[in-house]
Amino acid sequence: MAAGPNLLETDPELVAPAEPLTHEDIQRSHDRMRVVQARHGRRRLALFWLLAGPGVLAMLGENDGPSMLSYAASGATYGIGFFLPFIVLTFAGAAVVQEMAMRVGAVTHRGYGELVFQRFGRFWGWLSAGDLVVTNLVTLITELIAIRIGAGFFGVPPVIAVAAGVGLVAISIAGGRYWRWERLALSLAGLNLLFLVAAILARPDPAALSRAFVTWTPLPGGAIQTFLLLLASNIGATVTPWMIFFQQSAVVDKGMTPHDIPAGRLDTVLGAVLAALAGCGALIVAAVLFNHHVDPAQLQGGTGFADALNRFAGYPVAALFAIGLVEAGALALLTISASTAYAVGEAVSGAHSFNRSLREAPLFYALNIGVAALAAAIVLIPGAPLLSIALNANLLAIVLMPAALAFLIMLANDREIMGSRVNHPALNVAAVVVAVVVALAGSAYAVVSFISTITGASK
Amino acid sequence: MKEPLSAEHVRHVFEGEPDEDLVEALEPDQIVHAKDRRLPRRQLSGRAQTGLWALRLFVFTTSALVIYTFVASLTQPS
Repeated sequence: MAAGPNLLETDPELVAPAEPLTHEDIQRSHDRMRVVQARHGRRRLALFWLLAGPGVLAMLGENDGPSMLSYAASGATYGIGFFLPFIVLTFAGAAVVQEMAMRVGAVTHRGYGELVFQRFGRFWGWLSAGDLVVTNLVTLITELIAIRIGAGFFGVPPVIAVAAGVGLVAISIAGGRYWRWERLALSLAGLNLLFLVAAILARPDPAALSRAFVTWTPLPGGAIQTFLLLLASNIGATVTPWMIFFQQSAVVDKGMTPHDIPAGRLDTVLGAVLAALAGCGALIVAAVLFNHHVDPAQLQGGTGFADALNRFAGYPVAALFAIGLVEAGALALLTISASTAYAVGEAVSGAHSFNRSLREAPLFYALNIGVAALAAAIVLIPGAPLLSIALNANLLAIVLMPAALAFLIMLANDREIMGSRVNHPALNVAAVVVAVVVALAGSAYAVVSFISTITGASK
Repeated sequence: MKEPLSAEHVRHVFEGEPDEDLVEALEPDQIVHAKDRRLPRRQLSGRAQTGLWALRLFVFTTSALVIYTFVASLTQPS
């Protein structure tokens, strides 16, 4: 796609500021200088290493505790079959969405929440930020539950597991540098592939894997309600509002520019591939339980999955699954806390960058650690309805998801801010298909959950 | 006339960072003060405005369903 001017490049009010550089600019310029040098030296691997991060973190961050349990529930309920290629398909859809977020961030140098406020007004801006904060808080509770479950398999007391999670967030934000935060999160993200190692150790039938990927069979049987619930959970486990907020803000904080869009695309696709591999790994591992006719309803809560895997697949597989759950929860703690802080910072026009010091951006850092600490406090309340929260966490995201996708598509097609880097028509078709499928699946999930609640039926 | 440098900027120049390189590594519209300038509100077509009203309706309807379901689930014994 040919580059062309946009409002940011042609409006004298919006370019070439006379003000001096800030601390944030200087920190970012150091990172950018390394990118410029790698690009001029034609060191492609080094360039990708410098520019990778937001895409991989958004994708693997969404492979969080509840998502991995959702994939495992699909495997334990239906075995190896329809849901295996379906996971790959959902990540392809996520890549379409996240590529737009990356591109809009690289071209406009503004976060998603910021652009919604400025281009569509305060109603949509506050609705997006407000719903995201509530949804993220509930999701963080589920991440800490996942950490508790995973650590509980090794006998770690809940208080220590939860405190360690919050401590990790505190360590990650110390340092006042985006690069440092990103690299710490990336090193944690690599452990998500433990689910793939566990899947290999579980020795799945290669013929069954090939059949599933080629023919999408066997199709799920049994109750249609269970199938729809898992279908919606799997979609909700892949395309969520916080990913859009996070990746666009991270791209801006990293300082990516339109020159970096090809590397940003590669970063997003790499993230989708790795996340799909790990997600499929979780499903394949749990399919062992399907083969042994374990009732999936008995696996919810506590260390159900890991204990059952210990019995039927052996300790190494169960231990890898448990460590994977801890990692999934821990990485999501970092990325979802960050997305909350970015979104609120953008909503109130406050400083919102890891390249700022604590003194320069107190609200940003307070929100980062505060939202994780609040979730931890809720998790540790004796008798708190944690299972209900965990099972219904995706519900809250349904309110925002269709609007988030609609605004992202509109922003990615906004010639005033994107110039000629607007969506290609084919990408628009793919993006609209993803938005419609996600909206329909979310609505069906909301209606079925509501009817189940008022009729007293079990979900 | 050249603008005065911030204390932070001066410190980096003093430490040996070439002033021009620092500036040139960033795009002009990427600098914090440029990013702080608000973009104008987008002018929406009639079709887009109708779509946004439909979206508002969806948001209010699903909010009611979702909030009721979520609160009810919290009060049920798990």
